Order: sequence, then C-alpha cells, then structure tokens
Amino acid sequence: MQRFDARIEPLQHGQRVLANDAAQSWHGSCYQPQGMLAELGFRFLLGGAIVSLFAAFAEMWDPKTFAGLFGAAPSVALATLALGFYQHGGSYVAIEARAMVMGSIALLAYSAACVAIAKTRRLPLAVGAAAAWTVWLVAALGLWRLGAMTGIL
Amino acid sequence: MTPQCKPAGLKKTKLWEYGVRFAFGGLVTAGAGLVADGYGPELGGFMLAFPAILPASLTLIKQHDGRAKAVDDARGARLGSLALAIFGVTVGYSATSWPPVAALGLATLAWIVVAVALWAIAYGGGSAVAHRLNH
Repeated sequence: MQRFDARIEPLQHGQRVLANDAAQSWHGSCYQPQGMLAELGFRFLLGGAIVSLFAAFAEMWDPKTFAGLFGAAPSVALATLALGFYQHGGSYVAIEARAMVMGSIALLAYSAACVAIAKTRRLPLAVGAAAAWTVWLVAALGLWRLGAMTGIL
Repeated sequence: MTPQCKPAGLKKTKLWEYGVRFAFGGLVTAGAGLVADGYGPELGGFMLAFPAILPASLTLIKQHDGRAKAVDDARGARLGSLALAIFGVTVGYSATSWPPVAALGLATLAWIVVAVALWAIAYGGGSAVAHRLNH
C-alpha cells in the first residue's frame, strides 16, 4: 500500500521537491536494468559488510545477554537508510524509519519466540530460528495493516 | 555483572561462518531495497527490522558454547529490538531536518545508549527484573 503525501518537504541541501516526486522517480524509467543490478550489488556488499561488522563485534562480548543486544543492531537499517538519503532524500527515509519502528515490534516478537525455541531441547535450533521467521512475518504484516488502518503509516 | 570485551572470542568463529553472515546480511539488505522498490517505503521500512543477524548467531553460539548461552543471546536480542525502535524514532524525527550523517549517527548513538541502559536495568545488578526475564 503506497500513500505518499503530495506535500513540499525540506531537503538537506536547500532543495525542495514534492515527496511524491522522489517516489515516482524511483518507480519511473530512469532506473535501467543494468543500473538496478549494480545498485543491488552495492546494497549486497554494503549490507553484508555492516551485518558482518556487528556480528563480529558481538562475538567479543560476554555475557551473552549483552552480546545478544547486537543481534538486533540496526545493521540492515544503516545500509538501507544511508542509500535512501542519497537516492530519495530525508522525507522518504522518515517514512521508512516510521515503518521500521513497527517492524522492531515484530523483531521483539521474533526474539521472544527464539528464547522459547532455544529452551526447547527437542527442536534443532537452526530449524526453529528459521521457522520463527513466520512469527516476524505475521507480526509485521499485522502491524503494517494496523498502521495503514490507523494512519500511522 | 559488568560486560567484558574479549577479542579472543573472534577466534571461535570460522571464516566460512563470517561468510554466511556476510551473504545473509547482503541478501536481506538487497531484499529490503527490492521490497521498498516494489511496495513503497512503508513496507520497505519493515524490512529494516528483519532478523538478519540473530538466526545465524543463535545457531553458531549453540554450536560453540551450548544451548543455554544461545538462550541468553536471544534474551539480549529482545532488549536490542526495543532499542531498535528508538533508532527508528530518532531517524523519523531527524531525517527531514538533519544531514544524513548526523541523523544516522545520532540514531546509532541512541540505539547504543538505550540498549546498554536496558541491559543494565535487566541484567546489570541481579535485579528482580533480571530474575523475571531469566525465567
């Protein structure tokens, strides 16, 4: 569901563009397939590097309750929002960030499910952690619907 | 209880295990871009809170240190996800008026401060909160 407000938003470098325009340029024909592939490759490298960095940092900490904080670090968010600023401007990033707040509630549900799964000795942890993605998905879709209905998103 | 930094912990992880995390993190980030492209930033924003690090971390910690430590890791992630919401709120308020580096830097700082504060409240002092969270 896309609902972009057609309002004028201030940008970083003194520019002023319609918030709608940023989204339309993204969906428009200015992105050629080759450019899109290059962008996906760049996203892959940047995201992989930041996720690896946080994961390695977590390895160095004890106790594991503290190291676990980094399991919910804003790794994907930093890579994506940085690119979002560059491509679309602050208004677009603000919309993503608001949705991310609701997504973090879904991540809380996922983490809680993982605590329960990790305690269950009969279930292989790798299988359980992967299956728990459905918890995140259901929670995220539910919150997305709720956000759309209440006008938060 | 005080958190301790032990760089030797890095040696437990094999190179291919870092490779798995790199590949998975890269795929999720690329996927987040595709979702935002296809369905807009509202749905794309949800992908920014996709559990990208946790599944691999839990599996590896269980292999290296046992199941009890994996439970502890997931408990820490519960607190980290609350701090992630603060990261989102900070970016949401600052993105339209601050330079990108400042907005993301402040939000990351907010995530660290809130995550550590929540951990200190929950596990730092052997509090009643820690007792409840551990059972």
